[in-house]
Amino acid sequence: MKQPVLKGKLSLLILCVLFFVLPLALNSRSWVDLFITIVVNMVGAVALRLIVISGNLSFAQGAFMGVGAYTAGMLAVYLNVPIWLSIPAGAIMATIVGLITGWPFARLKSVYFSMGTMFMGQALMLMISAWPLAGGALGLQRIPSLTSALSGVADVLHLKGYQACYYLIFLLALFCLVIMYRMEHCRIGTTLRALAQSEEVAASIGVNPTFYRLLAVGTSCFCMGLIGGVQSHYLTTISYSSYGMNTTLWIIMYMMIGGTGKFVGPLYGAIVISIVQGIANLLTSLSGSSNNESFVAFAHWLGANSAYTPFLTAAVLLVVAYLLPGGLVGIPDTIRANRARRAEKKEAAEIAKGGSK
Amino acid sequence: MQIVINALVLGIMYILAALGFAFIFNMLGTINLGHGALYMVGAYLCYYLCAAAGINNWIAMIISAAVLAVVGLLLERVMFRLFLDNFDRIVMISVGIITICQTIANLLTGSKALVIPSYANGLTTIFGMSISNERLVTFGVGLLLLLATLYVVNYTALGRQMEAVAQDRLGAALQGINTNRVSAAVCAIGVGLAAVAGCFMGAYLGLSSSMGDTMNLRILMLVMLAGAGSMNGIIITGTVMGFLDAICQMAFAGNAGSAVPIIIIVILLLIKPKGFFGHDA
Repeated sequence: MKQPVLKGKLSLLILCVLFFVLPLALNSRSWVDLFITIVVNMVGAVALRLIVISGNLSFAQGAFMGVGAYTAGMLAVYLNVPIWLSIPAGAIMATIVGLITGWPFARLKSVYFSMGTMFMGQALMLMISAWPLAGGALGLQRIPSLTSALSGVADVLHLKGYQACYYLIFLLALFCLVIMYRMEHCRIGTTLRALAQSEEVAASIGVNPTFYRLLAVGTSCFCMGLIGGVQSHYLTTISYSSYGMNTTLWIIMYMMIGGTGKFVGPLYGAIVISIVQGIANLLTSLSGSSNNESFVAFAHWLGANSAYTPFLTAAVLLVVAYLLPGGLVGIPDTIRANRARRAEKKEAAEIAKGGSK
Repeated sequence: MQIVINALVLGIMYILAALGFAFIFNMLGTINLGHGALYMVGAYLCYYLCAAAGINNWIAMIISAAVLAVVGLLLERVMFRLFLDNFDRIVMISVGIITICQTIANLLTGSKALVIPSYANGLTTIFGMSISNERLVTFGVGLLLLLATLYVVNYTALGRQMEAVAQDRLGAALQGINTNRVSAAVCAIGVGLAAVAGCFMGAYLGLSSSMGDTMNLRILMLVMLAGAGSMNGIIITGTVMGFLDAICQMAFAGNAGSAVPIIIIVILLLIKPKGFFGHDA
């Protein structure tokens, strides 16, 4: 039963190398910022997919990211907890909240689970927004910055501050992704898929559905909390509105656009949509240091019209929804299916022609 | 006493907006996350018909409801009928619609505070209290539409067909009911009602690009709280929701006013996750 080590993992490896090398090569803050966004979204989408393979769609992912971010931020702001403790604390807090809130919802199915988690997430974020210690409507400010905490490491490795931050986030994200990849490709992943097929059958052969569902939710929340915590230290100012319904919906969209069929799907979805959403910002800030006139003009035009970029993302969404049943990762399958259908039609037409002769 | 009036007005608007969502939830078994966005589009359309084209705002409201009803028809054709058993696709398309509507609203509004012109001016004194005519008219029209919808649901052929499709789509089709036509009619009525609610709420609370989100959350909560297949449940939960919102906005300052009702609803939903009045789907 020994499989080739690289089978099916080549694209993951290429992505990994790209995300390691590119921020080093593209030595500018705006590029690195874009890469950080992509990596954060990747973790969000993959963490959501872990719940989705057990047959439920959670609408509370953004809120758990927020719990992680606020826990890490508030520990650092009010108790002066060092960064290397506050970030894991955020992850653990998100896990605890996820498990406590996930437990009553674990028995719900499909739409009821989605709606329950959606209200839960909204309630969590509104609670934070109404809490004066958490900064209220203004958000939490003056969180100790990751850049200054990593300045020593950055000096030793001859990296810029933001690059050091990127590599920390990258390593944490890689850690999350490896955990989730291993989880999906071992017995736990199979069990979760079995639960999605039929909870009764799975329970009848001795699987504890609640335990496995909570395991998926807990792991997912841990990853969300971890990445949220590190992001709060990177941004230094966080607001509850950036962890609300919109964020959650977009995390769901990254996953769905990429395709839920494979592990790499959400990664592609996060890359494509994050680039579409961030391209105007990126080009505008790049154009400041560029000498190419037409590029500068193009970047300015794009920046002036950046209010229209949501239309572009909506267009991507609709195209994927109507034309690509398997998401981006399912494009080869879709093409193959279309070709097969066309060939079948042709054959049928030829047979019909032959019959009429 | 003013709180009671506000609560009743809010409640009836929530119910109106939620009816369409509940129809779709009951009959098609899926949720339309874009319902709040359509409610917002109704309000914006009404505003621009009034303010830009100078049409009387009652006529503007009817036009906007009619346009949105057509949108509902189209939506059923291009979304629900195609992807009836595919929740993922419906969510994707809904988010696409939400994004487009919100972006347009943002581009139109910017940071301006738009309010639909008032439907009725002046005050009326009842039992020694003065109540603005606006509230009375809103409540009256809302109640009228609600009663009309209840009549359609309970006493007409369409209502009976709806119940049949909700119970068993295939069985209804076998009995000779054109299920697609029934769902199309239901989507049109539902989205049209949401547009009317949007027109009134746009005069009551003003327009903003986030009004759809706020309403969407309310709609989802009160439909879930009522449970699948329950019309009377929606009326009860809608009224409760209206009272909760009106009281909490008075009692708590700032964001806590919107947080407390939602937390109460979440706790209620934890007690009975499939709703209080519906059948177990």
